[in-house]
Amino acid sequence: MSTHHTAWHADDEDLTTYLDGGTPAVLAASLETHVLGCPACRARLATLSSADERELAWARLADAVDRPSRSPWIVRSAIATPVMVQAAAVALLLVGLVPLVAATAFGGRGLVTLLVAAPLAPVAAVALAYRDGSDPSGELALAAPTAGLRIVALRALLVAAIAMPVAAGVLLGVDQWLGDVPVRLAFAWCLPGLALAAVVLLAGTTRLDPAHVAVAASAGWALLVGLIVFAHRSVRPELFTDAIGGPAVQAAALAVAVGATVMTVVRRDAVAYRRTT
Amino acid sequence: MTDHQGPAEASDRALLARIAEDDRGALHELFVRHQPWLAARVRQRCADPAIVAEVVNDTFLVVWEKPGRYAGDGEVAAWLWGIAIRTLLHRLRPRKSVLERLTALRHDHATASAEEAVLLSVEHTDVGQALQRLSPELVAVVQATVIDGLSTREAAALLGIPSGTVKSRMSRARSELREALL
Amino acid sequence: MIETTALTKAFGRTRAVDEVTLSTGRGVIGLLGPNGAGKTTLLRMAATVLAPDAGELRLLGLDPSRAGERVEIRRRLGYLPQSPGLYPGFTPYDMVDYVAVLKEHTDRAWRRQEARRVLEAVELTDVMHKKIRSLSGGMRQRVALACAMVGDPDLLVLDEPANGLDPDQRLRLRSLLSTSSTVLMSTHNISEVSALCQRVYVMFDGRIRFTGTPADLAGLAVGRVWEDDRQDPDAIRSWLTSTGTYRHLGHPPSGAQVVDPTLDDGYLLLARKEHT
Repeated sequence: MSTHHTAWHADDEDLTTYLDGGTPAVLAASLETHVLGCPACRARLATLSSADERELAWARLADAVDRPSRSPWIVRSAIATPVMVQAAAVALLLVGLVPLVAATAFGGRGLVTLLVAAPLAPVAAVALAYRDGSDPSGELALAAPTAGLRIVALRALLVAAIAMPVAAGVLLGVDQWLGDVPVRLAFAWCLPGLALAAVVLLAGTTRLDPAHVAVAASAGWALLVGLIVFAHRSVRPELFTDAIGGPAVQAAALAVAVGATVMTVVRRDAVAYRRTT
Repeated sequence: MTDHQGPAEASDRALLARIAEDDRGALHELFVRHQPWLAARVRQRCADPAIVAEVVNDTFLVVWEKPGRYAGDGEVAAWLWGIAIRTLLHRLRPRKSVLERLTALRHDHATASAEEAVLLSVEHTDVGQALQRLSPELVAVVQATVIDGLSTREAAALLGIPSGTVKSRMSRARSELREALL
Repeated sequence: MIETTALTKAFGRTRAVDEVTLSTGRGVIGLLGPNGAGKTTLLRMAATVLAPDAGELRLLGLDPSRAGERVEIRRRLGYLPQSPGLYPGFTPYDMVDYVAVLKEHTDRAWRRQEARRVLEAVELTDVMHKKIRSLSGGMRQRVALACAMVGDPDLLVLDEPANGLDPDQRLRLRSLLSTSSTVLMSTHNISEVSALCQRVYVMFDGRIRFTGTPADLAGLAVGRVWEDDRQDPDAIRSWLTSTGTYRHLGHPPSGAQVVDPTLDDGYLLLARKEHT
């Protein structure tokens, strides 16, 4: 809708009448068409109109433009860290894909890989939650009143909530695939996994680096599975069902998980007030 | 805020380009420049100040969120008005299905631009004189279709009359205008 | 506002902060010293992100080693770390909002007003919705500064706040800081101290070597600076000034033209003592 630049311009009186709504339709149409193509008349109209009203309108628009994110702060502070999301995705891939491929390719030996890898999901979740790099805002966040075990635990839960079902799903999937994995075994790793994760969580309240403890705990678990295989020179699923799914191991794992968690809560102060680095 | 200011006033297009880069200052500048006439013009068509404020607000929100919709040709002011009048229409008429709106959109251009071409090629003063002789309801139809660039369907919605009536009044207005002008 | 007694923090064998005892009042307090003097470690303890190995620390009259009091300190604290981590995918507005959330502000309308206030104060209103990755270094520094200012804290701990700011913005920083009740800021730039600070601590090798006003620091070198048109081998230090004369620091020979000392002279004299 480009218009001709006419020789005439709207005078102040016409514009004031127009602003007050008193201009007859025909003149109004003529004025409007002119104003649409004439920056000078638009500017004059602006000076004649109410500045207060404009300020009010701007405040309204600014409120719509400056809209804080609606997501609750828990999700925000956990998800808002891209490093953490990427690392969690990698951990998931390792926990989910590697055993699946191994099980498909090597059958029973794949099951061992799976058993080694599955408990690493919660362990990785906790270790990640502690990582400095998990939160680029780093010390900015550490100096905030919300810093501490609460945020670490929330982050760990968030990653674990995604990682654990995936690990369980993969195990059940393998069960369908191979047809010889007892369902009991598919969940036998859960408690040991939680126990290992709780130990890593507890490490965060000490001078030890949680990442190192996570590596050590994972290695220990792998060693245990390896020992069972070595002792029996076999990878039959029933073997693991009895060894790991047995009441002794499960009860011990439960005790460690509960104990470490309680200790962490007791020592929660130390998480927010680090003595290292 | 000296980061972007040019020597003189930035053009509307330059402001839009900056808005596309999420420059809030540019939005404010465009707002200060265009809000007064936009609000005044919407007010001519709608008596409810709450709706006027809402329409102007939504217009600038569209600008902020989708500055890329500006095709890059023609006056930015005209583009703004296009958004404002359609926002007003949307606000006034009941919601239509997506399909209906899509078909309506397709008709928009052809109908509006044909009439635009006829009437806007004529000098303003002449049109003014000719329009003055039309009856008020014909003026309203001319204003909606020609000045505001609405399709028959949209004009009908704005004026609250059937489409057929818009068409018949438009053709009456056209023949009366032709008589007066030629 | 910040009181320490024999505060110590070591990393391995290095004592980054070595039995520091100080008591700041209100106002803007500068912490001056070369790189590696322990300024950042001291500030991190003052910001409650690092626990001391030994000694006492009280912030705003509270003890950060007690969990409850520490949370209370953090509620009233603003901190600008040495390398503030800003999410590149966030906008300045998001970032400030996020920090406000971390500071327990749940009222969205309040957060919006506060975000506007602090971003306006650091002159980022126009770019507050741009992604941080598209901003210049100076702008990012101001985003971090805005984050520290959220909630108008009683205690501001700022690590090199003037980093990356241009001279104009440094001037603005002065009026920004003057409204806060207590500011502890580190710097290695002496001119910043005279421009911004009411009191100054000079730190070398983990220890506080000077406490006083900037004028006091310059006063250290009263009668110890003279100017001459040639070099003087007896001076502790000599350097050529822009006017073409040599400026000397040390014990002036008799009949030397002694001049008024500057802050730099005082600092250099301190630094010299430190190394001999």
